[in-house]
Amino acid sequence: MSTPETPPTPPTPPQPPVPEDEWQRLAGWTAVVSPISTLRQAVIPVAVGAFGAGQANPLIGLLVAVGIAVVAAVIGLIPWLTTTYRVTPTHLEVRKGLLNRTTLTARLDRVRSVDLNSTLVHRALGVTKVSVGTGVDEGQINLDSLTKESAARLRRELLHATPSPSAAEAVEPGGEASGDEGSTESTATGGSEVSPASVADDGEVIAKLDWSWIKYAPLNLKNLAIALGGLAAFFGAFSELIPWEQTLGLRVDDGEINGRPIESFLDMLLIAIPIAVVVAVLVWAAGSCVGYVVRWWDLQVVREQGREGTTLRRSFGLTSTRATTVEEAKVRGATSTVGPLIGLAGGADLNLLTTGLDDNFPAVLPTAPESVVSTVGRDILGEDAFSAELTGHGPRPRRRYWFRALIGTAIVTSLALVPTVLIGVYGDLWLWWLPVAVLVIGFVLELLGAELAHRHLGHALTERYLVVRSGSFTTVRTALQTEGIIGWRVKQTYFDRRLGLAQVTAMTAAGREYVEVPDVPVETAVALATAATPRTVSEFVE
Amino acid sequence: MNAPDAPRRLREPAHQVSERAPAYWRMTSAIGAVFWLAFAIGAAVTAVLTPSGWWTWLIWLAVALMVLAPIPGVTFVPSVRFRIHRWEVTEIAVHVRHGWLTVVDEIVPLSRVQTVDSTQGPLMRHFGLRTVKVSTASSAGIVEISCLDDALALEVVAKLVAITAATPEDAT
Repeated sequence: MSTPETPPTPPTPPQPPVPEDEWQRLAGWTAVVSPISTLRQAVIPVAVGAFGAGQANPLIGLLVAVGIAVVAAVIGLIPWLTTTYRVTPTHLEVRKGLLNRTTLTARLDRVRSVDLNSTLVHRALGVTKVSVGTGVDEGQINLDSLTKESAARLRRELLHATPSPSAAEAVEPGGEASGDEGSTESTATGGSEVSPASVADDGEVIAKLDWSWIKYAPLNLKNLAIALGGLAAFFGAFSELIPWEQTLGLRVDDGEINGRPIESFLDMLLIAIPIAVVVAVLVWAAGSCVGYVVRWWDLQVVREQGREGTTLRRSFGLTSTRATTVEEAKVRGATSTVGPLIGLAGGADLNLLTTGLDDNFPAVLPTAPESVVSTVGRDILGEDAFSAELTGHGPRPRRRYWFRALIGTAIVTSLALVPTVLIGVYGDLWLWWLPVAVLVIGFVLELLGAELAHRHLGHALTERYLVVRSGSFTTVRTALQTEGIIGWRVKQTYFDRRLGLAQVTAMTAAGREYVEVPDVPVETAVALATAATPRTVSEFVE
Repeated sequence: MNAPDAPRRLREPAHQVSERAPAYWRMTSAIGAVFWLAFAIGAAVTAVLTPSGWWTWLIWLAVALMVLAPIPGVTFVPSVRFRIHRWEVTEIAVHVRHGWLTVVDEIVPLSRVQTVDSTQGPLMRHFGLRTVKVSTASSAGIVEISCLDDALALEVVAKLVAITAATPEDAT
């Protein structure tokens, strides 16, 4: 069980200067946190089991519940008893496991990111979960959980400390990432002589939450879809159990509700539906704002001086907090997304393209005004790549999009014709207006989408970035470092070849692992790839 | 910016795949065609034996599709494929072109290659063929040079491994 060199000291020594090669344990509260998280996964089967056993005899039910709790507590003790870690001058080592003892070793100069994550339970106990990202595809090293102090110290040791003199001279101002800030920032680059402990706490704040951004929360249709889906699933699952008749006094019989004919209820619906819609909108607005506050509370994006070059740290959250630190050299670009409603309100989303994180496409900010997104984007990208002038893709994509819009409208309209004809033939109701309405609305929407898709298409090559924009109602603009391009794919379907277009994919390890340049004239595509990565492509061009 | 002065395109990679590749593709399609033919016979028997209804013509349509669809694969498609499939490995990059209706060009710099491996199925072994697979740190960046001569494939793997080992930079 316990390793021979682990001294029988309390799990977290109170004095900070721990000898670096001493094995350390997880926080004592781990013994509480991990049974709770185990139980939370098992709560429904446990409840069912205890309830089922309790049907026969309440005492047995109680015993089953207590037994399961004891087992969970014992299982929860195992990580605390068996996991130890230490930071040597060159490596982070973690030993864990009861029967299968594993030792994870990560070279400190390969550590790319540190993620501190605390749920409500963690926070109540003053502990936090630490995830260390090292390579590209290898999983993260998790330590659940450390005390706040040891987590902060570990993060500093992994990303910021210069534990040995040899590592100290490795921090040069001319490092890979220090070119990023250049004109915009001077304090962090000059700060390599400052002691690591003080630097870690006061970096340069790049962005902070502005409470006026909360107006975008109700406009986020993606969240609305998730909320509606959850609500529908909830009522779908429990509608049988909800005692409608007792609580609401509703009884539905054949064609009658509580003995009154349904027609009279239809009149009431004319009043009830608008009221319901207004109330739902109000509840949605309030609920999404509350969700926004809980999620993004105290957001800060801070640039700090790390072991090699600068790091970016993003921290936020009210009930569960999260602090993610990633080496800026591992940030390969950024994406700004403008959704349909949010775009009308002047907002946009900003995500990073990184490697070495659990989520390689992290949001830097909540939805924020476009000016903020471009300012922060410029700061992180190191140049004004987002507002670079884009080259359009000419008239050929437009022809294709309009043609597709016409086909789409035709298909949708003929689909709408089917029920109309069926009702007209088998009933006496002729819903002539249905296909006409579908035709008109579909036509307008499809053509608008096609035209927008054509207008949004574009690309540019700045000093260090490939910038691509595409999308119809949702516009996505991606800036990817040409350094981060690790391959190209040029695809031409039969119709592409007839139109002289190509679908180009820039492969990358960051973000979603590829960036697409859709419907680009093939000669432009080849020229673009050659200009972006001349060493790789030029020998294959004629 | 960077508008081209004259229209430029990617040139054909230098080498063709093995001359036995079309036979292999034809054989693969033929095996598939046998299965489809079996399904077609089953469907035809069903159509004959069951009382005919408005759906009978649908069954016959399916039968016709199942008989006709594999025909291109066993006749002219393998030779078209052979003309299109090309590959080239330079000191700097791998360039592969493949496809029939959809033509795909893939270029990966060797400095970003993470693993090189080769595969050979039972049927490929019979034809003396082997596929070389090059992968990068991107899940979108797996490039295959399919249907090389067995010996040549192993040579290419050895060359790729030697070149990638000589470029020690971080492959992301």
